[in-house]
Amino acid sequence: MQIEGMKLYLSLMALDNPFRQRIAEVFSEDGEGNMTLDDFLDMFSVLSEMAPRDLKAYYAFKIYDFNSDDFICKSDLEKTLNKLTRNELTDDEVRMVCEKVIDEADLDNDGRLSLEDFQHMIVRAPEFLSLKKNGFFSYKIVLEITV
Amino acid sequence: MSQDSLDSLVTSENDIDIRLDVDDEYEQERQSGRRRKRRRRSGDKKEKKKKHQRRRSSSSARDGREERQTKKRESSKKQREKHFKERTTERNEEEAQTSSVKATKTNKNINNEKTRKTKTAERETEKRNEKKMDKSPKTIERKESEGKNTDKSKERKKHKKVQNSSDEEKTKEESEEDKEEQEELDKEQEEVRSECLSPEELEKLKEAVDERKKLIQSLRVKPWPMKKKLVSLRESQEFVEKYEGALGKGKGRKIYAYKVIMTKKWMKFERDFENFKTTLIPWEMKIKEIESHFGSSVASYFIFLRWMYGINMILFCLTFGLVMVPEALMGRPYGSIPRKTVPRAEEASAMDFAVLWDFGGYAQYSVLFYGFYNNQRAIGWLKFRMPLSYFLVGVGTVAYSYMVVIRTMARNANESGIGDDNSFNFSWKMFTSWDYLIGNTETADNKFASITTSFKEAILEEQESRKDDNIHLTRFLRVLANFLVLCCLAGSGYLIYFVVRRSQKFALDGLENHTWWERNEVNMVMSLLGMFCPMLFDVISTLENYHPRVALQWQLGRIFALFLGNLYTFIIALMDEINLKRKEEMIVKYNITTWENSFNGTVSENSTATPISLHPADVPRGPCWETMVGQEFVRLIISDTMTTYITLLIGDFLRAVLVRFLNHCWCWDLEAGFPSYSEFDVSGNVLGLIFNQGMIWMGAFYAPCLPALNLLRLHISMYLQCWAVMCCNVPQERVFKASGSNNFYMAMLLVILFLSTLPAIYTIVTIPPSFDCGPFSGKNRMFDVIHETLESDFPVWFSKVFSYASNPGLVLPFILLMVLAIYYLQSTSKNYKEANVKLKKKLQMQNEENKKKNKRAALKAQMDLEEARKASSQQKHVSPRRHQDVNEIHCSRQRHYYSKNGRNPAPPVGDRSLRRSAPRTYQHVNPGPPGYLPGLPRQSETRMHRVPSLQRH
Repeated sequence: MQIEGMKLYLSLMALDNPFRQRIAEVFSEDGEGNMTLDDFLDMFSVLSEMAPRDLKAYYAFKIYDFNSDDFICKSDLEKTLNKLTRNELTDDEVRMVCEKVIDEADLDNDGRLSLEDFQHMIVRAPEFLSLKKNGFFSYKIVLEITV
Repeated sequence: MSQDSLDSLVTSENDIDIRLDVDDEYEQERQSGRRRKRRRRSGDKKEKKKKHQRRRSSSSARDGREERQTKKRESSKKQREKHFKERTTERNEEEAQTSSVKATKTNKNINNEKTRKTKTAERETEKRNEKKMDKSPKTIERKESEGKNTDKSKERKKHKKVQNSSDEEKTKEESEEDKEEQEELDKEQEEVRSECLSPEELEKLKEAVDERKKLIQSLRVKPWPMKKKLVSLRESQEFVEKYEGALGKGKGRKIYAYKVIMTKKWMKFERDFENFKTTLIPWEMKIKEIESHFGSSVASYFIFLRWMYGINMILFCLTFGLVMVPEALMGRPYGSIPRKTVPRAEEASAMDFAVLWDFGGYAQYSVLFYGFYNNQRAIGWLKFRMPLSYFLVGVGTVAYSYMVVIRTMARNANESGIGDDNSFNFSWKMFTSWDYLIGNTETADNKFASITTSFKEAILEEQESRKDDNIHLTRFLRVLANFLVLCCLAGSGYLIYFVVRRSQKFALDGLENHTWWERNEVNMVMSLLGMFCPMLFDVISTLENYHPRVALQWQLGRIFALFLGNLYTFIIALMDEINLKRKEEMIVKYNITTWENSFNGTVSENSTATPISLHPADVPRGPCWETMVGQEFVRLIISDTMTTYITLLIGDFLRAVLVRFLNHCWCWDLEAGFPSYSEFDVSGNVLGLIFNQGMIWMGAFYAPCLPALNLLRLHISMYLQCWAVMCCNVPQERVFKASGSNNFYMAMLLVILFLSTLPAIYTIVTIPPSFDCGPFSGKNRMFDVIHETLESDFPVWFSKVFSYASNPGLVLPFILLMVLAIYYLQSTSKNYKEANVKLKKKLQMQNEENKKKNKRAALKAQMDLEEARKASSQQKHVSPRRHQDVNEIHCSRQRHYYSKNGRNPAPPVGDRSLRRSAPRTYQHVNPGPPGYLPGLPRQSETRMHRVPSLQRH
């Protein structure tokens, strides 16, 4: 557990992780990224592969919700996308993708994603469905790095 | 579960307590007595059997604890008595930690009972036992044992009481343990209480226990901090244990822990195994890396290349293991017979590199080619049937290739038939594509690139699906483009035909009389066409405005058609050459027979002379057209490989280097301007691969070394091209997603396979083998080897059966039957496919309908809400919490609540703004009051699971 945990922690907090800051913020009690031991344990309990999917989905939602208003709105989506692609998409493309995401996942038509919408969408993701590479938010086969 | 739901649970628990506490003390007494009895009973049994020892010790331990508890209770009772006398209001403070409410409410009762207690305890217990008999099976059992053990229990009780009074001080000293003890005491009490419940209460209790159990089970799913989870887990575990009894719990827990550990281990193992499997796939990492930078279309070429490598590996194993190695090990050695020796005329130059490079000299007279093999029926101590093996391997490679290609195609079709659910394509890409385990920079770079690429692919797909141009114009342009391409193809076809005809005429005249151009005209024309036509097609295809994936397929098809001309000329040239060689062979054969006849004649005339033994190198021999064909193919493969590598080095690498380093001192921007870096040419490379494979299939029969050569070539080109792509190519401008299966490549491969087996089969079936070289020499046809084997190696009845089976009267009906079966299967599969498509459409429609419905419902709910607000702003009645709930709830449920809301109108406007600014959080995050939504307790819990129901509506 210790070794795996350290590995996980290192990779989570590696400089390349685009959501490094967000993860720390979400799991810390003060919301600033300063973690206590309890926060730390919380984080591991959520990220471990034994953790239930719903829990993962809940925290994933929080992580993607950059402005912490309990909705993933367009600005959150844009932020996520730009972090994921390192700003390599043009503005038009970013806008289009965000629109598509909202169009796909927004069930109650309020122009933003609530936790319900998010869970409805995320539990159908292939990464979520297959136990083998439950890559979403947990240990994933490191070798399977792409696509 | 939210705080208020917990609260409600607690309150319900208290309700029960109030009613129960009356009989509390007696029950306690009875319980302890029962325990003791049980212990004794079990003790009797266990003295006989050792294996139960553990439980016995635990039960005795429990007994000890119990005694302590009773003492404790006595002390607390006394305290309470004191309080009662004093009639102070703060009497409950000592017990307030765990069951304060309970205690306050029950104190009176307890005190009243106390006086009666000592006298009537035993009687009451017995009575109650009788009463409870029908309530639980436990009590029945208890009662049976009661009769025997009453005396004992009485004694014990008295004894205890004596002890109690003396130990009172001691218990006070143990004040630190007080809390624990108190809890345990409560537990005991409640356990007791469960025995004396009315059915409704029991029902309620059961519900409460179930609730707690549910909580324990679902605790892992709750997004709470660890501390809170622990606390609530403890609480509810205690609660459950109180009522369920702790019997056998320890064992169950152990099993559970074991299970958890095993699942963890299993998951880890699976992960490792998966990793291991991934490492076993050759070049997987390389291909993934390319895919992440260049998109799936480029990666599809490399995957195809890898697949080819696999096939060639099998072919190589077959030919190497069953033909080349046996001949090299067990066949006659080099130089033993004429066909295994370099002829005298070539001996001088047989070891020259130029000759060897052309696969002449020693290379020609080796296991690499057909001519080296002897027609000896069985070789070596194994009696290996060499000619038969040669023939069967030749047939087997082709059959295997057919099987593999068709099977792969079928599997791919299967995969594409299922199709993937694309309903959340972008969302999944957005939220699940990052791999949270990436720890090193290089991998992360790859991942970023791959995510960007996949987004670009998806965007392109989306744009293409949205595009709707002038359909008539597009159609016209497409027809025009196809017409132009057809013209091109026809022109080049005629050109090839013309050039081939001319070259045949030149060949008849004798090549020496012609210029260099005239001699090499065919090759030059072919390569020029191969160079320029694809470019032309590329230009034409921009007219068509297809999706890039479709455009790639069209491009592939057109170049394929062009290259067929290449193949055709090659085959024709080969057939011509075979005919020439056969004529030569006829002459040689005639000469040899006449020479032999004359020689024999002289021998017979002067019989004293011993027959002259000629050295094998001096024996005259035929040209052996089979070896010639094999050589031709090998040379072709070699030159083809060389051209590929050289163009790769010059066209890609050199260009990239020049562009990169000359850019500083050039008048225009080389990187952005004209030469730029090259893109990876998927169509050209795929076709190169396919035609190369066709050559292998055609030539493998006459040159067993071909699969080995091809394997080498593929291996090298894998590494070379991977490197070249990563270092000197740029991604295509429009990265597009390759179709999930490479079925288009496969289809072309199948066509090529068919086309290349045709000439091979033709030569095998129609042309008699050379008389003095190869495993089939001396036979009329190559397949005679089968007859021979059947006649000499199998029993007579088998050949008889075989001859019957090959009777046209049997074969024809069989073929007919097969045709019928194929027709039937094909039509059923067509039907299935149609049904599949229909179902898919239906499903999609349903999904869309659902989505629309949801949106409509949401809209309606919103409007209702607005109305409600308007109405409520008029009647200023405050119930903010309830209104907030309404605000939170979507869907059909909303209307239900709304009606409620109408009766209890919503808060004033000022309150609403406050409500709005407060984030809409979950109830567990933001605990509500205990009286939260009385009609439907624990509303917040259902929220988490409401998603599916949302779909149902």
